Amino acid sequence: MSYISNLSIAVICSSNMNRSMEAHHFLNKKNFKVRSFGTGDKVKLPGTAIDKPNVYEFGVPYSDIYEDLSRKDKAYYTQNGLLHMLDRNRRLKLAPERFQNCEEKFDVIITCEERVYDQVVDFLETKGNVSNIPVHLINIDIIDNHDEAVKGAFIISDLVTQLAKASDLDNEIDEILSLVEDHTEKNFLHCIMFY
Amino acid sequence: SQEDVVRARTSIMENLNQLLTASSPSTKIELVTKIQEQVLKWAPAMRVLEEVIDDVLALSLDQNQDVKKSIINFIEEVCKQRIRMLPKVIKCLTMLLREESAMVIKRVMQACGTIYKATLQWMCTSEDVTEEMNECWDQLCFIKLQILDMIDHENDGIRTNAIKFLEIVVLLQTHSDDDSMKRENDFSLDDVPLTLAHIRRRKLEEEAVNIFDLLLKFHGASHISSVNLIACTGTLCTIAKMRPKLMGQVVEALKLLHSNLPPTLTNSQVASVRKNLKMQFVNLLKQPASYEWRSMIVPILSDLGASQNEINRAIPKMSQSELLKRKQK
Repeated sequence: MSYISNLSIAVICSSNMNRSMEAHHFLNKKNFKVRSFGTGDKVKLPGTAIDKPNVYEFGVPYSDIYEDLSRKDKAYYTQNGLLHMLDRNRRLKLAPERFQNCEEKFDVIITCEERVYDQVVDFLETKGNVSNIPVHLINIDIIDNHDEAVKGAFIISDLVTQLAKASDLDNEIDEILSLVEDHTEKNFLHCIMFY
Repeated sequence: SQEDVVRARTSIMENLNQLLTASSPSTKIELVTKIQEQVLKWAPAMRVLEEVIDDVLALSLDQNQDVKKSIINFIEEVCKQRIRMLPKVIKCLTMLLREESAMVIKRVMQACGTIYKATLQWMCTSEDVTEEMNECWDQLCFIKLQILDMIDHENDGIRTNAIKFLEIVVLLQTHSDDDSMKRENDFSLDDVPLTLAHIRRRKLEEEAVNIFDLLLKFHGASHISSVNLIACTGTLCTIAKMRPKLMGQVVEALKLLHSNLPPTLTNSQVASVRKNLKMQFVNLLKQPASYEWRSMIVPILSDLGASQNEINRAIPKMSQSELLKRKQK
């Protein structure tokens, strides 16, 4: 498959369900080379009560989760949008993936929450670098609900489009981030780590 | 068996012939990767490597920078597995470092980190160090000097890669001690035999100390970009963790940075740098070797927003006798 750009991107949230998948969906439609992940220990989805979340292992297919929730309370999970989200997800890929289990190297990693950014930094730092190949890590805070995930995906898509246009990303990234920050009125965290 | 070698040769030659007549960059990259996998992962094919390597390396003159990058990748992988092939590839590496494309230069610098380490290990563990090996080492040292110069390069990404390369040189050419953080395949000055005629421990160490000073200076420069500041802080902290003798200077440098951030940083860059600084200080605190710098690190961490709980969690548990030993130190 040929992509619009060589830039390889990872989008990461906590459960690889809502925010990272919304952005994955957007970037995929634009034909970017993108993968998405979660950094949590488990995949967590809201349940019918606040103290009863639905918890799954990473790797359990979106389809299985869809079926499970349909069985539990189809009307409720249709009304709160979870089934629609899972349906969108299963058309994109098989199952939620945990970032810490991925061996692939990316040019840019975008996280959707500061806590997730910290987990990615911590993971890469603890792993130690062996190949000296740098990766840009960028955080954009996105609240974990449907509307904010859509807005966040627009910003991520806008940012990635600008990053992909750079002829020398390492040399231009500061400027690009600053420009996108200005016109989206968001503040990004950014650092460089090594694989 | 001989039959397998013939089969391997036929298959590799087929790919090589295709490579020599290919016109599209993506086909060339695909074929280089294919040949690379064949010669490095298939035992009978390894014997064919010497026959084909010059033809593959000829592609370093290709116009396309991605093709050049695939050749650098090929060189790096060959050296990782068969460092004795270095005499065959070193000239090509030197030439690629002089390319115009920043992408190509950066990829060479990354590969050189791995190759520099592999070469030093090779020289230090070989029973018979040949004149050819010495020559290779000299050429690699020349590459090292060129990369050293690149710390002032106009391209920010090239500077980042220079920092990372220099981190490797400092770690290889300084002594580790009992407090050093351990990593797989560690190599330090302790592993350089005193009997080597061409490589002298004292000279290596002297050079490493000079490079470490240069990194400290670079870290403290007021015009440094936020990316390079973060990369350099990471490098200094890795050095501190693996070479605790240098920890004092690193803690001082980080303290200075905390009180005096470069004026050129934007608000979000300040937030990113402070966040990174906090993470690095927490990781230093986790090292038993940072014991004597705790009183300096803890207040800075509080200022950077670390809770008392976070700080307590980072401080390693020590027995009374160990505490006493460290106090006496």
